[in-house]
Amino acid sequence: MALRKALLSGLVALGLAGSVLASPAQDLFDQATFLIGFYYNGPAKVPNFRELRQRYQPELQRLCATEGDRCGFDKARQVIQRIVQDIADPFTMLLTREQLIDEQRYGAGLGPAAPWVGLWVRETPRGLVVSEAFPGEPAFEAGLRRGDLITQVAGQPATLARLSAAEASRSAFSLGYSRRGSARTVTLTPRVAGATMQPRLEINNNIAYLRVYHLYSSESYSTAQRIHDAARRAEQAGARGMIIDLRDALTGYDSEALLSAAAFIGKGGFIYDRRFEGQDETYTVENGKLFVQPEGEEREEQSALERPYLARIPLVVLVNRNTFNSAEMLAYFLQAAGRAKVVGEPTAGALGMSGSAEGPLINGEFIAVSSLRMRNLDSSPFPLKVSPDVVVEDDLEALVAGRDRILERALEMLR
Amino acid sequence: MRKLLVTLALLLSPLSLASPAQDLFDQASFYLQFYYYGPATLNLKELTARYQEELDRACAPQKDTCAYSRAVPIIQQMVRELNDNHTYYLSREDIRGVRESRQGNAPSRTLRIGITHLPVPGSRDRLIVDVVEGGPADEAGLAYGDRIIAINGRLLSELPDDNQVVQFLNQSVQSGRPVVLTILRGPERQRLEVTLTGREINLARFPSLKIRPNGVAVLKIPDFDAQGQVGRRVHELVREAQQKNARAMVLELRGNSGGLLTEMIISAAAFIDDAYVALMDRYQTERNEFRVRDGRLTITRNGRTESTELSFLTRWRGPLAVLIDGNTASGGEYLASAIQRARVAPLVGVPTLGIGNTTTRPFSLIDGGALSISYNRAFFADGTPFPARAIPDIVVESSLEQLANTGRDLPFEKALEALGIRPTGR
Repeated sequence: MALRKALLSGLVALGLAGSVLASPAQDLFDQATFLIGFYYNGPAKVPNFRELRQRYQPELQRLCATEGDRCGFDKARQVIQRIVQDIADPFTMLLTREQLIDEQRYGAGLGPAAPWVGLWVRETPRGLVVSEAFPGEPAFEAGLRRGDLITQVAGQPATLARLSAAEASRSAFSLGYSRRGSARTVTLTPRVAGATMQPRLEINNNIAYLRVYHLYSSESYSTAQRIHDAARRAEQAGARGMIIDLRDALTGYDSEALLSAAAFIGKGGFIYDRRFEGQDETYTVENGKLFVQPEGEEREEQSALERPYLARIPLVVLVNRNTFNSAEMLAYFLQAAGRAKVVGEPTAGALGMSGSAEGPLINGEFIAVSSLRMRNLDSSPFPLKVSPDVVVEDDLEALVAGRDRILERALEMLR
Repeated sequence: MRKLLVTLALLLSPLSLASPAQDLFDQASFYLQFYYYGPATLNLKELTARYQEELDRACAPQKDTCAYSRAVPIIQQMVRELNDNHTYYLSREDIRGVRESRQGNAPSRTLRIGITHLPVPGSRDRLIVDVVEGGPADEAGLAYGDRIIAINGRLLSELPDDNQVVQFLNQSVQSGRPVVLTILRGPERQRLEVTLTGREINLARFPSLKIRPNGVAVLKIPDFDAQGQVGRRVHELVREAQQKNARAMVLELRGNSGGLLTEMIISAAAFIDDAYVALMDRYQTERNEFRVRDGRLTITRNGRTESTELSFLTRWRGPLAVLIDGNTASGGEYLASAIQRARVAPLVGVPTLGIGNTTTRPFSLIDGGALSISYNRAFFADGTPFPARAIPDIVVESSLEQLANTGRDLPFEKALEALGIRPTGR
């Protein structure tokens, strides 16, 4: 979640028992309202923590009316979800422990922890449209591809909930789908993902196509390094243009987005702005090295790519309404530097918002709070979303009919 | 909706313009009230409310511009009321110091000879109570209990007060020229002149081993700060003592100031078979278990286990005695309690400081500092809580005055006695 890496260090948690003084619900409420009200620095108007508590305390009391000091976490959770909804910025949200574990796995170059069949789908009234079939995973191996329309899951009409339930069951299930009108059925057995969510490069007709799923990294794996490697390979193969596909891309780390952009822009940076005095931090990239400079201190090298590259190849970036947070940042860095044209839909709207996973909350969950507002190095604020240079709707009907309109437009632009 | 927001914003404007000092105080107060899990029984809500009044007074002239620096002394005073050595404010510089000791590299930045010394009551002399491993004093053979009576030939008794003594010693060291210390040592009051020169030294502390002429190994662990280094070094030194056929060992934990739990527990495995600590926070959100057994360090957090093989482990099986005192704190107390519980050695000395059953966790503050708070309580494998203090099996009251005047280290002598070794001086 564009969460900065430093604070993610293994503070996983599981909520079990009650507290010492007030009800569990009251404790959780107090904790979450402080973390939101004290640190919030996002685009919404959020009152400080005292006001926030005053405002939502009656709701908690209503929910806890019958249980008193035995009122459980679930009641507070409802109120917190309500606060998150009222804030209505796409970044601020509750995160489960499972979600944080998945992020750590992405950072290690792996897929999610729970067994899956390796699909990203989008729900439509006609069924589930496959937006990605990850090579190497069960669905891909069984023949499914982007653009297929899944109509049945285990004999039932296909919904996202049914697919998730079938994957969670861990046992084989049937999947009915159609490709351009012809119906097919396969049997899939969910399994734990392998290293299939790393950037994937294809070169066809002298155009390099790089699919990027997220921008996580760890000590052992760097998405940015894979992007630099891909840029080098594309140029070495003599490609005359490159497409970076960030449609549906998850977030990751902002610093990783900056390091990734460096493969094409060389130098760049951003400022993290907290609502407190003297707490800004400036991140810059230069020669594949990432520097951090806390306000009033010297800049320090934080990390460095092993094999940085600087590519001159013409570049088009694909985005859609699901391109989120750090992925929006990568598109923005490339667009703002005049290095790439962006094609597709306006992005999710969490550009320039960041924060760390606060917690653990005492119920074992975490909370992501927009505590950091991002600025360009000249102090101008980031926009809230990426506006494509060429707006093309991500048309699922067309995709099911075999036409990827955004990709087609990008190919035209590189011709 | 929009209108509501505007109204709300107007209503809130006085509060949302809190001063930096108020923000810092709010942050520190929240963390203290919400997470504190130490022994203090004060009403924390009442405590923070009382200090809020202090802050209001201190900030009255500046109001909204009241700076962080106004709140810091108030926060310090507030947490001091808890009287808990695991709950304290850390400045930006303190944090840097902690980071450096963790890395095992804490440059002194000034010339040092590497001793801690205290005044000897009734005189101007200084008593050496700690020597930094590898520093000039250590190299020159200075040791715990040595009494400095003259510097560069000038008797300290001629100086008018203690401050001037300290200043004189500092200036002599800072000059960068050789310094001659005249000392009295041991029960024989042997008079020695030692020449040493100040230099920049590493203030990070490491375990050290000295083997006495009578074959007794003295293993000193000053703290558990240096990550990945202290535990390993303890095992290396135990092996060295074994190779040199030491007949018994005294584990010196007097003044041990604690540090990292992992380094403590790895160290403990050199003396006991099943080194184990479980930690639990106030809300039982996280249960962390640390164990060294069968050559592996295993850390379990809420059921998720990470295990590392430790290739360097060894185990002391000879006679052992452990020295503790009122400055043995935190990790030092954990180790003493674990050894006592495993019944492998007597503890000798006086009860320890009293933070041997909690851990402290630093929460970052918006002024760049941190508030470290008693966050976890510690438990043995069978669920019994660790004791706050380690209580000696053999109580030996001793005073620095007596050590300075007679040169006799009574707790050490008692430790030897417990090991069945006749004290023969140094």
